[in-house]
Amino acid sequence: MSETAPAREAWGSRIGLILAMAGNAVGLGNFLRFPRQAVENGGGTFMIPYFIAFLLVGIPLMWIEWGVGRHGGQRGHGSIPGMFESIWKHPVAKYLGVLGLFMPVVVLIYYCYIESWTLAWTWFSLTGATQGLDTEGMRAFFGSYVGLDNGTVHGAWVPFVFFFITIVINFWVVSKGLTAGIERLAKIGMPVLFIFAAILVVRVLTLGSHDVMVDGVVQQSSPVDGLNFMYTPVWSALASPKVWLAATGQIFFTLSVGMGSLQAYASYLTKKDDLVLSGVATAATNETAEVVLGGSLAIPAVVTFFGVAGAVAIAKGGSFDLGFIAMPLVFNQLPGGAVMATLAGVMWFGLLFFAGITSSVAMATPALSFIEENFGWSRKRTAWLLGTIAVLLGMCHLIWYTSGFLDEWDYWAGTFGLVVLALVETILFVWVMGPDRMWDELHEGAAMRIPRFFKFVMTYITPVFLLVMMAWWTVQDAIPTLLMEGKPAAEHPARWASRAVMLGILVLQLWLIKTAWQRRVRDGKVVA
Amino acid sequence: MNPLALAFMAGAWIFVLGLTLWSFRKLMKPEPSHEPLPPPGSIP
Repeated sequence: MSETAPAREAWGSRIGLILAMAGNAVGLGNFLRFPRQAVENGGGTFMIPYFIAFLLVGIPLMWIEWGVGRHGGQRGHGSIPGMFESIWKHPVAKYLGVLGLFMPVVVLIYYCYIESWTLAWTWFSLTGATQGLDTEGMRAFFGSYVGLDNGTVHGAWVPFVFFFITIVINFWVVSKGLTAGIERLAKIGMPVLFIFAAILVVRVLTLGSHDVMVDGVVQQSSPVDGLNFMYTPVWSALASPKVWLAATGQIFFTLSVGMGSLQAYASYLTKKDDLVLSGVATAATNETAEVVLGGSLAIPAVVTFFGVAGAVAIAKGGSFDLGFIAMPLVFNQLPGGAVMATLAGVMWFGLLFFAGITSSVAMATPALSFIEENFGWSRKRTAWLLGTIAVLLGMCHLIWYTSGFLDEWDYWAGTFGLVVLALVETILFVWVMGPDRMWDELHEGAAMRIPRFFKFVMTYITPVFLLVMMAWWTVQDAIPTLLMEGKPAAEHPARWASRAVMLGILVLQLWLIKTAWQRRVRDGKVVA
Repeated sequence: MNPLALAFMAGAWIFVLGLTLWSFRKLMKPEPSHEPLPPPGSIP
């Protein structure tokens, strides 16, 4: 087969590229998921498997995805189906690539819904809506927002408005194009995110001691207790496979690998562009946001005002409880009264919003490129079409959030699917292309040589790590999740509907791939 | 702070901040510029 590669857009600057890539990686998980994972999986000792997974899976996958993306982009493909076919000249390759369209679209839709919460809570912080609420009041406030049928605090229309605004902002940014939209957003959003986070970290770590009631006894608690709680090592955790898999999973989520969005961004690179050092810089920026900033915010702040036991109790409902219930409670108790509560709330939810939007615009890119390149639609028209679909399908999440509709998408596309795509792309890029060609491809235009040890890691260790992870997750989680074990019978209809919608998206995308390739052959872009 | 917790936190911070600073310092380094040589015979 021979292909012609049309001219494509390019990144305006190297710093713009790295900020956009890092923006893609830095998301809500850096500030909400990481601290919980560390606390639940051995505290300080969690950092050992975490950094080992970073070196053996995270960084290698980062290079692989940049390599897959640039290789495909050079041949005119901005999304995974074409990228896979450019590596593996087999009719099945493009259909395997559906994973790289399916995951970002599915995750984008529910991620935008979560992102809309951060926008809503920024507004609530500004208007003082959460000030003066106690723990139960804050729970009711959150519950009323996500459970539309329980409109004790919010009218049911409120979440729809914030969701709609979030989608409009997202697709307005992507409709502007690579440099005027995505790159500009990253150049504004990432510095704002880091500045807000740094200010909050300084404020949290200088809070001093506060009285906390523990079992009827008043005790002193401070941010240092929170850091102790988070980093005190539990050595026995190192012997637990669950901890190692949790660490690898966290590296996966935090670096946004296995999604299809990094490859879409990398497709705009040229042969002269470095991807080795840029990949490391992107991963390192994300790690700084996660370990230094994310690790020093929620847990130390909540422990200071509620003690370790209180923090555990508040966060028992998950990361969202930590971010949307516990943190506003902390802000209400900061010295400085209503002004400080407003400022801290705006900064916290503002930084979460920027963390979210710089990731969600990246998730929109693969589908956008696919339609644009294969069906000749303009970027603006494609963006608004996808935005409309996101609004319509997103409604399901708003309506059935409390029935587990979102959980199904989050598990199959946002968790399990990531490992599947990462494994498939690693096999194609390393084994089908061949380790030597892969190595040469990565070093085209590179500003530094990758230590040779990583060639062995990428060829053998990374795929084995991914295989083990997939097998473990299949046995531990995928089968029980598929069978809906432990889920209330009342949720089953919504969960089945959720799966049916996902299946519909998958089938539609497979059909689009088939149609696109028929058009390519017809237009002479692919000669069979 | 518990010394072991402090050691783990410091180690994690040093690793990620070090990697970030190292990579950005290397990235920001301007490419070596190659000044054109003077024409042959122009140097006495």
